[in-house]
Amino acid sequence: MLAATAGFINCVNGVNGDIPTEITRPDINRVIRALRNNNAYTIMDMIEGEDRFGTGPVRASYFSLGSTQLVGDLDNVQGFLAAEQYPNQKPVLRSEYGSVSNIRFLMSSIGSVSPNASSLGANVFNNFVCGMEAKVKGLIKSLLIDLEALRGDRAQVALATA
Amino acid sequence: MSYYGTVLGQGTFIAPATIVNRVVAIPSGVDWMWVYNYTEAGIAGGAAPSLGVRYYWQRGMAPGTGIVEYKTNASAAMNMDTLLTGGFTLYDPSGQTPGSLALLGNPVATTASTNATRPVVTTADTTGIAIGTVVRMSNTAQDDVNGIDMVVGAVTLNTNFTLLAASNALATAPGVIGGAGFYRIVRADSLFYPRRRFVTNITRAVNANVSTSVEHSLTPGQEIRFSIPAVSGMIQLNSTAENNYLSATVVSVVDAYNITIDIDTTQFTAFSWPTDAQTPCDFPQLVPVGEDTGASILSVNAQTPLYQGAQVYNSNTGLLADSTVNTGYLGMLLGTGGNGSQLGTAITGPAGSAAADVLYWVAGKSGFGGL
Repeated sequence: MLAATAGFINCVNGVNGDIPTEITRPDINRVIRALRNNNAYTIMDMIEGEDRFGTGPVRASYFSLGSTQLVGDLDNVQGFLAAEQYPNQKPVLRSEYGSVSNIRFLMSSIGSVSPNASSLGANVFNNFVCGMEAKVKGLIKSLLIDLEALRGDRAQVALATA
Repeated sequence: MSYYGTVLGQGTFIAPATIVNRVVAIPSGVDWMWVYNYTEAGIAGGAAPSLGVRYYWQRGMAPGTGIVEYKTNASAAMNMDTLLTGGFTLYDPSGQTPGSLALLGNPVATTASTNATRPVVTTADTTGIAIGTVVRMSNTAQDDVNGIDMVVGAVTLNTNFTLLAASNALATAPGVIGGAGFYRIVRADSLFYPRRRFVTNITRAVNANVSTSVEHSLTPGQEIRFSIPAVSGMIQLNSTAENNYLSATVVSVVDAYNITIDIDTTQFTAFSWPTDAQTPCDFPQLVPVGEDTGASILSVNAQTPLYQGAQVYNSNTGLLADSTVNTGYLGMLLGTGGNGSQLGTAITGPAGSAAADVLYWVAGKSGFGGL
């Protein structure tokens, strides 16, 4: 439903030469700004830092629902914190891959894909970033952001506004 | 007629005034289907096109084909042929059913695209392209056109086709010639209605006219929001805290690609479609967000979401026309007919031969066997 009814923004800050580009931190920041500017509530509370080596705190976050094809691309995003590096594993969801800033990424093998939708004809992988109680239409209580990300060297951030 | 296996379903329908492709929802696993044109069975045939009476499809037949029995030459005698196009097409929006309609066509090479608000795309193969077909370009030099689904506005057989119609042309030409690339035919729309759409132009008017790159299928009263990138100029339409999260209401449906909205854009920055030089960027979109029932009530009779002349599958009408619905189905697309492989000329299809034709269909699954 989100893929059909939500607006989106493209990743434009990458260097892969395609449109959209690969997912980058500035693209994710755009999404977070859009959510926050529209007073979207985060879904998950922050995870406080603890004195455990190799871990780091996690901000209060929105969820991003995306494809497992983006696994490698997310690792390359500045500030990415893998789920195993969270200081406390209790709030970690089974499908969670990691977080960047205020977004925690949930990945599924059946994540949304727009086939051959990039400028160079490559597949575009959609990531839907949700605020609390967001709806695509009708009663709007928060802002739903749809990130479209392109696998490999390409990423599109889709921003669904609700 | 006896059927082998399990009959999954049967039904009847009446052909509309304008014969269009007919959707018949059938549970998954259909292996065969018969369609009978009851009306044409009871009359003599005509000169042209030949009038189809009975149609048969079985799993394994190519999409758009089928066996047809027809009448011709003012005779009641039946002839048999196969349809080259316009027959039966198994439909599965997930694209997972073998033999079903490919939702996205294979890439077909193009050699050039003009730098115009309606780019003319040169190609030696326009198979499957007609006015109203949706295509997606790729790998051309026009990065502001690539990846954007656009309707075909004109076709010259195996020579070229023109992106967009005169009524929904790009506000701004791409700025570069396209060069070689590919096109793909897009055969399925997004599953859920109402759908977001790319906006190709917005006028500056008391009731601004908004053009979309493919049919919008919206109805009066639909509430929409815009996402206009800075490069497109008319950012005053964007929903922000400063404008109290502005949303527009569809005032009227001008045509399949144009609507008017209740926002006065006369003082807004002029709209432009992003040029190739301005990419990578976002592209202007409209996003459905709700309904203004007060506006909808004023045009209750116009509250039918349409796509390619037919009501959007599973959509509601009246005040519920804007409701979010899943338009997906498993079933069969009955075509309007095409040339017979032996006859060489047109034979009407299983969607009907003439307005008010009564057609019966039965579909089933075989108990054994395969393709």
